[in-house]
Amino acid sequence: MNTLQDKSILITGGGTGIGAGCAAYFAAHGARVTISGRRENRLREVAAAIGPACHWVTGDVTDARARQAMLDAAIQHGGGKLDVLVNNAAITNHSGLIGLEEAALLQVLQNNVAAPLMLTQAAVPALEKSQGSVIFIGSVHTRLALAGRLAYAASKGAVQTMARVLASELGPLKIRVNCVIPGAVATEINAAVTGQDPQEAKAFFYKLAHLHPIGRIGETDDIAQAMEYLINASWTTGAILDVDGGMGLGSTKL
Amino acid sequence: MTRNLILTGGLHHSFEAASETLRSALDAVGFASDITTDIHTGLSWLDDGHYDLLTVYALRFPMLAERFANDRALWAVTLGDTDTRRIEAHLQRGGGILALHTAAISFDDWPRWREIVGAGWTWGTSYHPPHGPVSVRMTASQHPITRGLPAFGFDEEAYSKMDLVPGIDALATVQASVQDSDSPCLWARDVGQGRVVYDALGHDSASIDQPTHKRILQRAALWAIRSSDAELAAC
Repeated sequence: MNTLQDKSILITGGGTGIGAGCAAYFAAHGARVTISGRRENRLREVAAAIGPACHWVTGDVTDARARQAMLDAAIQHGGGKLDVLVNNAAITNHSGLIGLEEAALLQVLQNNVAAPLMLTQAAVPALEKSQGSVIFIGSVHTRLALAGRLAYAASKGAVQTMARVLASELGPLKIRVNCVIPGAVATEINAAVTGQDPQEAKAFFYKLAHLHPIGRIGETDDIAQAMEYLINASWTTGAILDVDGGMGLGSTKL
Repeated sequence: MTRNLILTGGLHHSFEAASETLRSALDAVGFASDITTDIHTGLSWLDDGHYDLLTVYALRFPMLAERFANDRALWAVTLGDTDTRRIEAHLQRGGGILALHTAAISFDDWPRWREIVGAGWTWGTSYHPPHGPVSVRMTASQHPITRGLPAFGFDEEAYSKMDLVPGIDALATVQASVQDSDSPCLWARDVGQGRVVYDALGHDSASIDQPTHKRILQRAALWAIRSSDAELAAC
């Protein structure tokens, strides 16, 4: 059964990494996907590879008008409805406490916490109508306290808490809110962290397989399949689902 | 209420449904639209200056080629002197024209129409890839029609290699795929005393309803009737 058939799904940050991979997976399973992001060329490439099931619109999630344009585009492409909002867009920062600039911290919090929260607020009327759901993206950095990822880890901790509170608030409207915590997936945001080019980063990340009890790093399909479950799990809300090959268990061999 | 006359009809398009979608989009910014497929009668309605805006969203031309023989009786239009005088008079009164999509193919028996629209369709040269994913990007970030609008991707026909009159400044371009070049798809100009906007997009209702495209159309209609920048920015 094609459980995503005709679902209208908006994915922020859909031009790269997990967002792009999930867009392709959802579209391949019958969904009508709208992706947003700041970089037009990436959105265009992803959409071209997917085909007519994927529309796109440029925009920065920190901009209220851009958020509304994303929602409007998704609702129109989805046939007048929005079933799922995937709050995927995020930025990162690889500074520890020493050297962390306040402006950089606030920028991470604005992008990763405030923006998806306000987008979710704007999406509530459409999601209430469709009895839809919201998916946030947390981080394994909330499971493993890795030095040097302070702002990012803090922002994702906020996201995960936010998902649970929103699940409680929006449950009476029959809107479910869940969160996926990905492990190491070879994506562009990770390449930026390591300062390597995408190919080198991919090679680097594949070397992290030993950090995962399952024995491999993640692919975007691993994340998309978990989201597919959450999209259809009508009695699951407030779930924080680790999809990380066991990385967050912290059971790395000594 | 601002009055708008939509001339429509023609081959290969669901003009009836799409014109209703356009009517609804423009109604939201204060236009009351009348729609007709009777081109000659419609143009006669311009005589009393009743309409602020003339929208040509049609594929209407003499259809002289043999391949059009079966459809000629239904859709062929040859403009007479009276028709063309009415369009010119509308512009001289300061009326606006919104020309959409196939408007650049229409009225090709009247060379002046190409000058008014700013482009014409040259059979054998102009073309569009099959209806499908296209990218639309704004190329004039400070023009009141396109200011603040995002780039977007949706399903359309990317009109390519049209014959543009000199001096066209595109407000937006369309591209079907990375292998295709960008083609100008939106511009706005003064013609005589009037204002004309051409938008090469708009194949069907879904195109008109695409939120960013809808805003372009609403702003284009307002610009053509000389609404203020603030009114355009509000939609």
